[in-house]
Order: sequence, then structure tokens, then C-alpha cells
Amino acid sequence: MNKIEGVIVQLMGARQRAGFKKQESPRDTQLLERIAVRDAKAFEELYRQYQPRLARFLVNIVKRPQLVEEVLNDTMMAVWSTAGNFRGASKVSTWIFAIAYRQGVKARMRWDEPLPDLPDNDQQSSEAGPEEQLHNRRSHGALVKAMGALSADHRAVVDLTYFQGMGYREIAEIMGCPIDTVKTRMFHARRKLKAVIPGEAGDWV
Amino acid sequence: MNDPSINPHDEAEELLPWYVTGKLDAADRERVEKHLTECTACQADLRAERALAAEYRDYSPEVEASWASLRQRLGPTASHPVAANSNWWHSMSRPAVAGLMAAQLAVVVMTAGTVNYLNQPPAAYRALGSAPVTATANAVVIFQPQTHEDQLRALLNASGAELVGGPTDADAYVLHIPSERRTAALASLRNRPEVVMAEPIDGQAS
Repeated sequence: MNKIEGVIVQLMGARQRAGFKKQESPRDTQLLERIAVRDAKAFEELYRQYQPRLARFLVNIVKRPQLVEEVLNDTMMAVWSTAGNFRGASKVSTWIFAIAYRQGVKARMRWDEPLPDLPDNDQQSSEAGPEEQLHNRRSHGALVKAMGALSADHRAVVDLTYFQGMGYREIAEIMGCPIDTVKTRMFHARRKLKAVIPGEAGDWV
Repeated sequence: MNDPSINPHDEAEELLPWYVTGKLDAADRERVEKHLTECTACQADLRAERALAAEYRDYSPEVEASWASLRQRLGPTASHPVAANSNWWHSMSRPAVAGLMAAQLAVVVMTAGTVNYLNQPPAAYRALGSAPVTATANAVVIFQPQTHEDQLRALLNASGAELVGGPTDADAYVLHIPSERRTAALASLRNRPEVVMAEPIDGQAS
């Protein structure tokens, strides 16, 4: 099987180079320039573009859906009022996510009420039949639980990597931490998540 | 990153997530790829990594967080909707009840004309990607990601191929093709635009 695996690895590399890249559009920079001179239309466009990504990212940090809108709007208000300070040293997306991260961490610290636990996954009891167990194993229940067990910073790194398509340098910039910290956080988070994902290496045949 | 004291294995292991998402710069990527060609543990890790990345993209933290808070409002009573079923099942342990219910069940089954079906040996339950299998795997094929299910099915049928497993983490399908048809079937699969790779594999996986 080794020869085949070698072929697969090469093929996958080629496929990855071909796609899955989220390039920043120069549009973001133009929008920010217009926002700096108080162009509300440009601001609305930027808001509509970033709202879904930021909401997803922030819920990983603050966990409470009702808090996400508040933190997201605080983030965008900060973008509105400080757009003129953006000097293009980083990508616009990195700059915005860094503001969101700081706002999210602040909000989390402010809110010290204990969080609801994730729902018990009743279906995963030992009484479930084999088909049901198989279905559950393949379902997201396990991933949801494992994500819930990670720290907010680990969840943030996972989301920025897998969903937001950020590189480790951008993530370090967003979270204001060394590159090695990003890599270590990702390494530990993956180890916990992979333990619950079916299809672990080796089930070729 | 070019520190020679860094073990290439450790480095590749750390960088795999960004290799999978295509976010490594050229130098990092080359080092990871070089290491991947010589490390079977990292090849396996890469497959697991791809499975995780794919699973994560389907995961919605907003839905989970909203559901967690709504679920709290339901209270504890709604968590076991199968309670009625459990009672029914427990009552089956009483012989008289069990006998009566078995008789009723038999009538229902016979009127439904499904006796022949029940006499058949149970079909092997085979899930995509699950391991032990009945047919011997002797070929592996990878389709273009955008291939539709009906195209995929037509190609497999035309090759006389039986699906043994997959999709694996590498999106590969493991097939059994009757040995006399295998060479020709793989050659024709390779000529199809939907097919990225079609290769023979011999015997069971070691």
C-alpha cells in the first residue's frame, strides 16, 4: 500500500495547490479608505461581508449567541472609528479579526456567569443499537462535544485555521501571540479533536 | 523555521493543518512534502487531518451555541423521549406478555407477506468507509471532487466494480473488480475526465 499512499500524497498536494485559497480582495482596502472618510455605504458593504465570518469566530470565544451581536457590533464600530489608522501593515481581514478577538476576550472576562454545558448527547448511551451508534459516530455530536471541551483560545485557532483559512502568521497577529504558541495550540486542539473523528488513518480497505 | 535543530517530523506534524488548507508558503510546503514522501506516520496523519478539516467545515458553532442555550430551557424532562419504548421492551421479559406479543407480531408479519424476506440471511451491513468487508479489494479510484453521484455510480457499474470501501480520508474509493476485467476497466476509468486516479491494488491490505 505504500506506493499507493505515495501517489495519493502527491495527488493531494497538487489538488491543494490548485484550490482552497481565500485571497483578500483589494476591495477591502478600498472600502476601508472610504470608511476612513465616513462613507456609510462602504461601511455597510464591509459589514455585510464580514458579519457571518465574525459571528462564527466570536461565538467560539464568547459562546453566548446573545453576546455575539453586541461584541460584533462593538468590533465594527471600532473599525468605523479607527479605519483612518489602518496603515496596510497587515491584511484588512487580519486587522478586523484582531479587533474582534480583543473585543471577544474582553467580553468573556466581563461576563463571569457560568456557561450552560453542551447538551447531553442522549442518543450516545450504551443502549443505542449498532446502526444508531454508527450513525452517531459519524455525526457531529462527538465533534461538538470535543469543541466544547477546548479552551476559547484553542477554539479560536481551530476556527481561524480550518474555517477562516488563515495562515499561522496571520493567526499569531490576530491573537497577539508568538507563532510557536499558535502551532502548539493547534497541535493540542487537533489531538483532542482527532480522537473523536472517525476515519482515523489506516482504514483504507 | 529554518532552524536546523528542528526535527523535520515534528515540524511537518505541526504544519499539516496549514498544508491541508493550502496556507503554507513555498518553503514550508516543500519541507512538509519532502517529509511526507518518507514518513508513513505523517501520511496517515495527513489523512486524519483532512477528515478533521472537512468535518469542521460542516460544523456550525452558532447553531451549537444557540441550541445549547435553548436546550437548557427545555428542562430535564425532555431528554429521554424513548422512555415509553423502554417500558414496552422491559414488559417483553414477562413470558405471557412476550408470547402474546410474539403471536400478534407473527400475524402482522404473515399478512404483510414478508416471511420470505425474513428467511433470507441478513444482508451484510456495510457503511461507507467502514472496515471489514466481504469482497477482496483489488483497485482504488479517486474521482474529481465535483463528480455527481449518478456519474460515479454509472462509472462503477460500467466497470463491473463493486464498492468495497470509501470514501477514505483521501476521497478514494476502494473497489473489487472481477480479475478478468480489472485491467481493461481501470484503463477505461483512467480515460474518463471524472477520474483523477485509478490504480490496481493487490490482495488485502497489509
